[in-house]
Amino acid sequence: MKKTIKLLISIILVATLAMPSCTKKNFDMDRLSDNVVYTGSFALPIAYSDIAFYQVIDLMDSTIELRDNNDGYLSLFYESYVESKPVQDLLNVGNQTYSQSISLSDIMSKGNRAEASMHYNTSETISFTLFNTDAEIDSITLKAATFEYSVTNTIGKTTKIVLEFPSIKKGNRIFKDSITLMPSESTFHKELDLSGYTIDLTTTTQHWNEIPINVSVDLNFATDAPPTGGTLGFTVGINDLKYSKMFGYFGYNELFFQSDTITIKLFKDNPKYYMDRFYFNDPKLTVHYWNSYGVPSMFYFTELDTYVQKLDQIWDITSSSPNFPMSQSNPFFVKHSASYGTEALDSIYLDKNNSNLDQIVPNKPHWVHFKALAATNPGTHTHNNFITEDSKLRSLIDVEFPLWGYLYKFTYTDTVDVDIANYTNNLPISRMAVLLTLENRMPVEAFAQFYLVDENYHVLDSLIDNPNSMVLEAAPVDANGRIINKVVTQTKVELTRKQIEDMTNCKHLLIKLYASTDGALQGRLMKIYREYGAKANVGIDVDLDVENLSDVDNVGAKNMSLNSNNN
Amino acid sequence: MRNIRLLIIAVILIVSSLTAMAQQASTLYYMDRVFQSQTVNVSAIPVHKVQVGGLIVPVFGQLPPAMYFNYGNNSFNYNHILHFGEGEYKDSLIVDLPLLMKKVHKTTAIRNELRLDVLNLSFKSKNNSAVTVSLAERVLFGTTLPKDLFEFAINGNKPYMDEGKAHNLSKLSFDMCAFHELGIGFATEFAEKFSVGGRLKLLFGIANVSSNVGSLNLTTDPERYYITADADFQLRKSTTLFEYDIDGDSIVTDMNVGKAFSSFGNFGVGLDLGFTYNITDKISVSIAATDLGFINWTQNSQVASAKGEYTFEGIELGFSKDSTGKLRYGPDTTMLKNIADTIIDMFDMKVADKGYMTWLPSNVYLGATYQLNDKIGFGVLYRGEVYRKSYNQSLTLSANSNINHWLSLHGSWSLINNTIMNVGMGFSARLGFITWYMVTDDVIGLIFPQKAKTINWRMGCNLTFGHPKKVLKTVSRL
Repeated sequence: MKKTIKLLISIILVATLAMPSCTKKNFDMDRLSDNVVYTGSFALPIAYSDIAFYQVIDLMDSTIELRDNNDGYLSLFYESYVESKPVQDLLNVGNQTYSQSISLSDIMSKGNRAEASMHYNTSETISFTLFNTDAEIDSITLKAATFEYSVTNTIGKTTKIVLEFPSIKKGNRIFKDSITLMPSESTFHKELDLSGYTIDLTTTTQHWNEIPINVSVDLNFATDAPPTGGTLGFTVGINDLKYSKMFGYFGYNELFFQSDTITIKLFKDNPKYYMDRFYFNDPKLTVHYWNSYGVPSMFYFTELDTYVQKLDQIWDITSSSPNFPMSQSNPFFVKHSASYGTEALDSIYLDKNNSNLDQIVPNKPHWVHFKALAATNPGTHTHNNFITEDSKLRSLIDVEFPLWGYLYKFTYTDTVDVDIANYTNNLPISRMAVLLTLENRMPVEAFAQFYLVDENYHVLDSLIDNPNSMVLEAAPVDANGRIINKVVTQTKVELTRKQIEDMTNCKHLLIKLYASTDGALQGRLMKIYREYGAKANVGIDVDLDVENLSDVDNVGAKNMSLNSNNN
Repeated sequence: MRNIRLLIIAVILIVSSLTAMAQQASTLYYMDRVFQSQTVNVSAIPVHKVQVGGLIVPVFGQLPPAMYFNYGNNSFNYNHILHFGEGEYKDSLIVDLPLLMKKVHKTTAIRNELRLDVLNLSFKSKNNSAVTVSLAERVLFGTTLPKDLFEFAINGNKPYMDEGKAHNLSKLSFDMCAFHELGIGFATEFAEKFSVGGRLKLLFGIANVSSNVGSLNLTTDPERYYITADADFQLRKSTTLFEYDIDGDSIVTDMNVGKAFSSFGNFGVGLDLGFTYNITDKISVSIAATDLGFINWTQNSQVASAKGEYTFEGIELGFSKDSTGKLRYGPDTTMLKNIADTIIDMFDMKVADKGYMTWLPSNVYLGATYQLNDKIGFGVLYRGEVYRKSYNQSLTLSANSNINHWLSLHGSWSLINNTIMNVGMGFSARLGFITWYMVTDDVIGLIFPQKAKTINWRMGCNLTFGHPKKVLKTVSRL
């Protein structure tokens, strides 16, 4: 038994002592060879892009407004706003002042004399100075104004003065004020708030622009000797006047006279895209108005021209109609607000039927320039004009390109930073195929080519040997020009050894896309709807064959970087 | 959002550690002179009247430290991944993925346990009843990896795509759990043939990071190579060990070990049960169950839930405005920015600050012994472990000898982790009132860890008082 135990202990000791050297080798990472067998096969989705047609338009020119038009398809809009100044600046009612001097002799000759007092009354008219000499104002409701008056008294007796304005009222309350000057007071100044009062300027015989003022003076000298001379003078002012509304006839006033240029980038040559031939079936230039002035107004262009790039010329945009309703000789009478607080909407447009727009558009207009004028009461004289503190005339001039037409040989080129080299450098790929799936929801046929590009933007290789094999068929449309169903095209490209090796230097992917609307050559017109677009999926089917660990040392060392490039 | 990111980072760390078997102590089961055998069969009556052990015992508690370590992997060992080659590579280690794939089982269960015995006390009465008190710090790691996960990583997704199969990852799980364990046990003998015991364990969770996967399938569409994940899972965490700021320079902003170890908020309960029947003087049978219990995690706990289907179509290229407001065409950079965010977005994960419960990995032991003579006896032991969605089994044959009054030796052979190459050894040696012990279920694994699916050992030193005059009989303890 003892022998058995001794033997057992000996075995354990030997085994324990032997352990370190034997085991250590197994865990000695310096002995790790590069030899490895790894043959994984992966089918992976790499990227996808689902792009609506309107997004491509947005990429070409981000200043474009894209909207669904009344017929349900898309229209492109370039716009410019013109707007009148704030009404208080245009039709400004300035400070109104009135002065009067009353001598003691006037009071003694025209007034009533008692034993120890004198009383004197007088009624005068204050004329308003307005924003133009033609204006005939009926009433003004004050949002804010200050009534200010100053008195000088050299008569030297106790004097009571009452000022009354029978046509300035708040509700039924007439505006009036009184002061009493003691014998020792020779001057007096006072300010009152007129906010909320309405000034009726029709109560005089002229019926506009005037208000009456009643002045009453009482001299009291019961404890004193009668006055022997002197003058009572006073100045009345309505200052810092801001109205909330005003009625009457405002005369001729220029609301705006402004110029602007609408830039149309869509047709400008661009390194990224080029349109060989295109046709818009119904381009328009429309002027929209929003008029909250209760005043008849007119609008016309003094200048309206465009630069056409194809001919390098500036063209007038003219109308084929002799009554072209936007010129100085034939201005457009804009609808005006019929009732207080409302806004009138109006518009007028030029199209291929009443103008030369259909000749202009195919020649690639780069801008439209205009100078426009708007004015009130063109040849009318009525007293039913009104304005409010918010009244404004706004005008929107837009150039609309409804997406109804055709496009032939549209070329789009872009470079996307795809640092494939970072992932493929030394990656032991034994076989690789790219699976490209295209889903077309547009009546547009296209084909694309992809180029592998190095860091200096030199093309290394193309992905597709025969681009014609990659034709994206146009989606079929119904009688109304709307697509019936999407078309799916799928292509699997087996990469050659050279293409795989070229990927190790690929820093960017150059994409070239060629597209035309279906039947463009035959002049077939297509409409583009908001839901139109295309989806592309890129997947790879790759077999890895790792025989050496160092093969994968640098793979994925950096984050993949993908960026659109502006070059 | 930040919390989910932390969870995902924690998950990646845990899964990548892959060290992970709870309380596998098949040789210890019949070491009657070591009262730690009570940890696996609570019906075992300690031999000595009084025993004291654990790290808290000055000097002897650390020579050697009272501890238990276990590593188990039911699929592969180190040499199934890295081994010496042939020919020119005979002195070099080579990576052998085909061999690994051959060895991987339908589910790979990797388990790891570290137990530090802080204090062990036992008192035995004259009528063979014993009371035990134990305090231990336990850390359990466990991960279950479905074969399809290896299939995806090593062979790629294409073979399954061609066969029209999904990669089924529903058995994927991981669990890291650290807790204090305070156990109070009682064992007694009756009618001279039976002994029965039970131990109530109060558990106080320190930290937990775990998953709860209902289903997780990855399918590759052969038409466009889309990868669709059909998932229903939870990621859970609870700890006061550290504070974090996922957006900061350093994610972990404050480690507070003291707070975590003095924390008693995550309360749990465990139960050990045992029963031994001496059929004759020579033959006995026993049944024991350990770690029947749970911990309720409530402190700083969060549960991130995901349910749904997500299809990955690749990186999206689209239009976006750059910093200058210029429209550009390119990838959705936010998707590439952070993989954790991507996963969160993928499954529309919802995070809730709420508690949850985890079950302990439980064991069942069925044993039988035959006492050949006073010096040597033989035992057979079946062990089954229920852990999350997996059930692992082992079978052990052992020879147990109390050679003399101070030395006992134990040898075992086990079928563990699908391998028969497990030769276990153990001894206890008593010098005066000091008893040293050391035991392992796989001595070969200790000598050749590169070939081991099981590596475990337990060691310590007990102060023993009241040594019986005749204790040679080995396994019946009666």
